[in-house]
Amino acid sequence: MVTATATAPRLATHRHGNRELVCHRLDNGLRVVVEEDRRVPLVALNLRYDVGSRDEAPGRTGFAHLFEHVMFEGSRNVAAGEHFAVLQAAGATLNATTSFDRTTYFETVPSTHLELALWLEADRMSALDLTEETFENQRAVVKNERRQRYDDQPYGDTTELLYSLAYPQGHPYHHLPIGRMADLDAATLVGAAAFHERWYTPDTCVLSVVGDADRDEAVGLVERYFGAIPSRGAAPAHAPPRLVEAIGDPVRRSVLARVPAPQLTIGIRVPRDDESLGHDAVDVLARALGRGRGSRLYRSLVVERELVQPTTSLLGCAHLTGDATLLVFCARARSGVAIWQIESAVEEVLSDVAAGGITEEELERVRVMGRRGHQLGMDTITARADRYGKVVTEHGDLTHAFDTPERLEQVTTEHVATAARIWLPPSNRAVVVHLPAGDR
Amino acid sequence: MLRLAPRPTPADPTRFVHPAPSVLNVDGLRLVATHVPGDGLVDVRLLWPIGFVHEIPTGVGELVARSLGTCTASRDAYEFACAVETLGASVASEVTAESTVLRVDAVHDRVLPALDVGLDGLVAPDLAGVERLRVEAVDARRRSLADPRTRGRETLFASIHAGTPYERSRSASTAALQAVTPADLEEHVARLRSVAPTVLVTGNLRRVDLNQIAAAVVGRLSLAGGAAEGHEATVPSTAGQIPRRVVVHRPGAVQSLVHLGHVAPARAHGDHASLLLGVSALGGGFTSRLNLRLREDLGVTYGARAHVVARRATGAIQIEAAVERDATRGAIDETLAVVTQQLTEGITSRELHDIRTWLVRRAPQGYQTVRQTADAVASALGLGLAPHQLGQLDDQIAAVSRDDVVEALRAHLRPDDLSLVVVGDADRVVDDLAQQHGPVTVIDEPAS
Repeated sequence: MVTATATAPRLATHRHGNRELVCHRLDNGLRVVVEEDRRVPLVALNLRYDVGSRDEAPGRTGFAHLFEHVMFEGSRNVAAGEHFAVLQAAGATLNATTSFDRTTYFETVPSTHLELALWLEADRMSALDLTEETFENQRAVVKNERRQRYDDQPYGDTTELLYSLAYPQGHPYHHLPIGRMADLDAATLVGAAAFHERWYTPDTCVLSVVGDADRDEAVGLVERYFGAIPSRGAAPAHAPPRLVEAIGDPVRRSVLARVPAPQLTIGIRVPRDDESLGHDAVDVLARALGRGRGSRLYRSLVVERELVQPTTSLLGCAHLTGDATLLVFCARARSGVAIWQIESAVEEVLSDVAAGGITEEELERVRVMGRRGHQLGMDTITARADRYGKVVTEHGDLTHAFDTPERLEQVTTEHVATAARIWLPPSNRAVVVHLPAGDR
Repeated sequence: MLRLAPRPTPADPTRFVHPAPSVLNVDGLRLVATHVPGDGLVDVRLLWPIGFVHEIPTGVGELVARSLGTCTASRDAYEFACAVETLGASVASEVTAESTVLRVDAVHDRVLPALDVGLDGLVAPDLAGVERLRVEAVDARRRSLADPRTRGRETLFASIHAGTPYERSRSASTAALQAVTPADLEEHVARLRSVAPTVLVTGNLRRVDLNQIAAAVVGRLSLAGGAAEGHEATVPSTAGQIPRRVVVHRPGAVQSLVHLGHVAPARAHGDHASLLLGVSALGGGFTSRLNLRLREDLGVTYGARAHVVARRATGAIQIEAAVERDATRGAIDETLAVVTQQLTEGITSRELHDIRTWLVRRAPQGYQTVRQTADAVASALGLGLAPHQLGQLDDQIAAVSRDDVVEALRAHLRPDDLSLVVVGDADRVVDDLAQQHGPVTVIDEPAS
């Protein structure tokens, strides 16, 4: 378990096993986590801004992600493209990602370059320096990203269709972070400036520093480079969670497309990922049903009935934190197998579990695999920096940073049975079917 | 006005020291042990220098690899998975162009039982399951080739390595897979068992007994001893054999996946480091010449990439970018212009410095975990390098001069010899391409 002791005002030390972290809050509201790890001469930085596509204004889908691109296009003291150039030349790897709930900027740099990386991040948090030319360029790049990853990929529309079915029109999760082309076209430079002003503030950010750095020195460096950035008051509020109930009626969409095999995708709405026992029970349910080749669905669909193509994850959790999240089943048919055969087999498995829960053996497999997954997932400094940003954003402290194995131990077969009974009925399904064109 | 602290000037990082694997002979096995401190997993790999370029018949190695990681004669796929997963372990097998690998990992006190499960597939392979494996392999190939990027790469390799075993980048054709028999599978497994693999053990070596691991491998496989010999595939000349302008037709595609490439020297060639630097300056990162031109100046792509495909016998230089459909010809012309300009002008001192530091200083990122370290060692061995050569490429890169880069590029990057593959809407791009680049061969998208 994590233990926390106060060593100075707003500075807390957390211990977990042989890990020791400090958690700190600057006067301007910036939350900082630092962990020393001297295994390699590198430091991972992770800045998690508490803004994602759920916070976009109507008619401006894709803006949070477009803005993520714009953040590399120049700030008060850094020219367009210089952020990438400077860090890449230093031997860093860096990038950024935008999801429904958050936007994350991360770089792993030689430890000698920690200070430079902090300066670069502080500079773009404090003020951007954008032009119409760079904004237009990134609009074009993002539209090409959409074409490459969604529009021109077989099954590339799956997620977009699924979320538009599983969440009602106007809900923040109804659209994907990549956004719609028309909305991307409507984005403006003025809007970007306002977005930065509203969301890119010390109050909305958690900065994690993990690696070959002295903890106290790292905190001092963060103070030095970020301390002068003024707070802009309380962090903006997100839309409150409003979907705690099941979908209600099954919803379905079938598409004919240039795909190599039929694909069945099912979204099941479940409580948001707040790392509570209720959500953990749902998580265990998903792992028992669909994660790994020893899972219930793999056994039935791949091994016994030979209906779908093998994949180690047939059902997983989207882990959304702002509102109800989704369990997503996705499988592609083996040659000669029809969608109805798969759907019928899935229904059988889900009905069995809804009626009878899972066995102690299945629960134990989930726990063992969960311990392994947690260990692997916390193995790199980059992954840990990301994990710390998540838990501090969601919970305000590091309590949940390391406790996945213990939480899995808390979940019983009774908890899982209850979750299965509530969330697995057919009325709680959004279904997307892809059929090869000509295969109707 | 807000005044931030002034921009810091970093010192140069200290030079990273790569792990130093020990090469041991245990029970007649060549065992390469790499210590990674901590309480992570222990990774054990059996590596044979037998890849798909050495297989007879084509496709058998892929089916054997699928079998090894999933089932045995006595355990179906579910029982196999349960045996592995209840140990908190993983077992996987893979065949690449030039090697076959069986990988097992688990916490230190479970690695021997996990290895035992993994070795079952070699001792008692599931020969009766060949039909199931075949269907899975064919489905996987179809799925993979539906991705324009994979399809483009496969078509490019078929062009530049035509008539050689390297003409596919991964999976065998459906026809080849369908021709493999249970007897072929049995023979291939026997072939793997006839030579002692190199055994790689990576992890906290203070917690594992290398003798026990070696004994398990020797005992289960009934090895008589003797290290694996490297196999070299015949690489016939490809001159004059290839359709060099190909469009894979995807009706309605909104982008064109552009691939350009030709053969490159084997990994052991003395110019490898210089060529790697030159090609990385061309398309190795966000600030490479191709990305600056196609993405940052023109905005016609999400990203472009140029890289050297390093292999033991013959490599390739490959350039790729997914570009807006209506910008296809322009993007190809721009790409060739950037290549030609680089050949004419060489690279700047700044580029040399930046690419060199980028390549060398990020090395530690590949050694944070047991899995990463094992991957690095296995990759080096698979390319025919000795374990002590892990960090040698960094030294070679550090010694490369601008002149070396120019010489290597001029010797090994030939714009006139680049094959061109475009995966996109032929109706919208072929005429334009033919006008600029000469006759174009159009092939339909579905591939077998």
